[in-house]
Amino acid sequence: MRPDKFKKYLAFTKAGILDGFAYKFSAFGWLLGDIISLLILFFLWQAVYKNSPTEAINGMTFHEMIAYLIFARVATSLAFSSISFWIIGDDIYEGNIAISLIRPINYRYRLLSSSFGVFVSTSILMFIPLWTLSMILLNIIIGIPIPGIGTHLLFILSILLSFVIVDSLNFLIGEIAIFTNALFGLMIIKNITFAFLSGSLLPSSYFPDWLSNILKFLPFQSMIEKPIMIFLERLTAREIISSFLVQIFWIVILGFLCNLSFNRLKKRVVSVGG
Amino acid sequence: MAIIEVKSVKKVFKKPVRKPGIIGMFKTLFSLKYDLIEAVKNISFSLEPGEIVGYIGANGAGKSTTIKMMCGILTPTEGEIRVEGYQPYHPKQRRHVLNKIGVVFGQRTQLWWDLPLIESLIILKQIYDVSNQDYKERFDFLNKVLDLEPFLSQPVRTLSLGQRMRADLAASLIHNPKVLFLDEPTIGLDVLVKDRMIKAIKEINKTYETTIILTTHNMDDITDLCHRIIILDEGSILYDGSINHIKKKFGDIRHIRFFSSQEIDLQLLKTKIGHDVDVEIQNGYIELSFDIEKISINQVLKTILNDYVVDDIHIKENSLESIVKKIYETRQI
Repeated sequence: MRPDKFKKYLAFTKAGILDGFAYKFSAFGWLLGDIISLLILFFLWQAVYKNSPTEAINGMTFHEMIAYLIFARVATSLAFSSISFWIIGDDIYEGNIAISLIRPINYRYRLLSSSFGVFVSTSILMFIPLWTLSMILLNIIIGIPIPGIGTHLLFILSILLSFVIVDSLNFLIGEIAIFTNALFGLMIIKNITFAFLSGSLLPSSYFPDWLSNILKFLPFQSMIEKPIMIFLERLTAREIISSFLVQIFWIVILGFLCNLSFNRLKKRVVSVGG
Repeated sequence: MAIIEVKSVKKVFKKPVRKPGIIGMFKTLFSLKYDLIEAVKNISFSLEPGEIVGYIGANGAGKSTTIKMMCGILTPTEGEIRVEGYQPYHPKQRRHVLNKIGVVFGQRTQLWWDLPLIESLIILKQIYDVSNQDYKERFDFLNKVLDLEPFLSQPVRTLSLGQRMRADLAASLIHNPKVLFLDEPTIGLDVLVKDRMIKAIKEINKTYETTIILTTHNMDDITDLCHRIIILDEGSILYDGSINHIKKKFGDIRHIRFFSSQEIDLQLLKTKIGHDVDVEIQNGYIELSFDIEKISINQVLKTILNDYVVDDIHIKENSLESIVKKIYETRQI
């Protein structure tokens, strides 16, 4: 993309940031929900570990498990902040896809830019404060070490790539709205699938072998589990590089699918009518 | 050279045949039967730069479909449309057209719902690559004619309908398009806002020589703005020409309404004036309609004023509205 072209998408990022700030209170609402579900998870795992004969389950101690869950939950709020699903879904539902074609910009990139704006505002409003707080509390209470600056940078890069993957998947799933016309049901299925398979609820080492083998060939692990594992320094340098390559691979594949499917959708809209 | 050329354009929609009820719904899901609906049948016309054209027709006549084809949202089934020499619906040629057109759909906004108006305008500036200088000049102009200042920093969702329409019009013009499509821009607006919109549209056309295509059901807007009208019925063009011409075609009709406390014999009145006059009673008023080329106003008024006690009287010329109503009813010119 040429730099002057890039500028117009930046305008949407800015708009996304403003949007995110406009809805800051709803963000706090989500936060409250997250805290409650974290508490539930805490007691659940406490019970599991109490009744376990060994101190570590699947290579993780109770403290490590708690650290994983908290970080995963906070990271989820950031990586899943993408709004492409809602924008394209609403545009399809209200018949605005056609109108959006009047503007001389690429619809897919526009949505990614808007989403990225929300990503930035979520970082500032929720992610950075919560992440810092979690790091400090976990360090003081259960002695989880605070990683160095290098690990932080790797994590940020990884979560950024993860965000693009989530956004592309959101876009693809949002397109299904043209057949179903029901966004809410679609959202619930999507969210549960994402939460479960991405490692947002529990790490994939807890899954049966056949499932974790299948997951190796799907983009979900790249969304939450890999970034968190990088942050918790549980991956070797080799594994870190390969996780980045996998993420880039998925971004390319999903980006290609987004363009392909949106072109078909466009054709349908243009010949049948929005 | 014509700025827009529409050559024997046809648009057919495929609609799945729906059966009523829940069982019908399931049947629809698996049936491959389609109804073919001809929304537009063989339309041709061309527009010169700087023209304002009223595009009118009853609901479902195919106005919006044509507009959508002209701005590239729909592809014609047959025929071709060229805007500035390019096909707006062609994937490769589209981008040449998009920078040159502006669209206002009265029924839906194209602004970003949650953003202050000024932000939306800045985004549009970026999208269309408008230089700072041009932006400033146009913004000042639009601010002047549409009075945007009072609500510039409000989110679009909090604007009143009148404000939103002005905002939408401004947003469609920030890149100085050569062609402006206005699809019912005055729908639901109060008289004052409507006047302001009409004035603004005139100003825009005069200052920037923008070609404007206007669809509306409000004939006053058309009379105020357009010299030329295109009347559409069931997907075909019924009339394409000046407003004056169509008025002449329908005759220079005058309507005289008067109120009299006297008992009046309508039959007698009619014979006194002549047989080419239409007489009817509406709400106690007697209404006479006649062609002034056949019967002189002088004679009619004399008859009325000499023979009856007149408490109240109005004279009206044949409005575009009544002509259009007649055309919609009779489906012919």
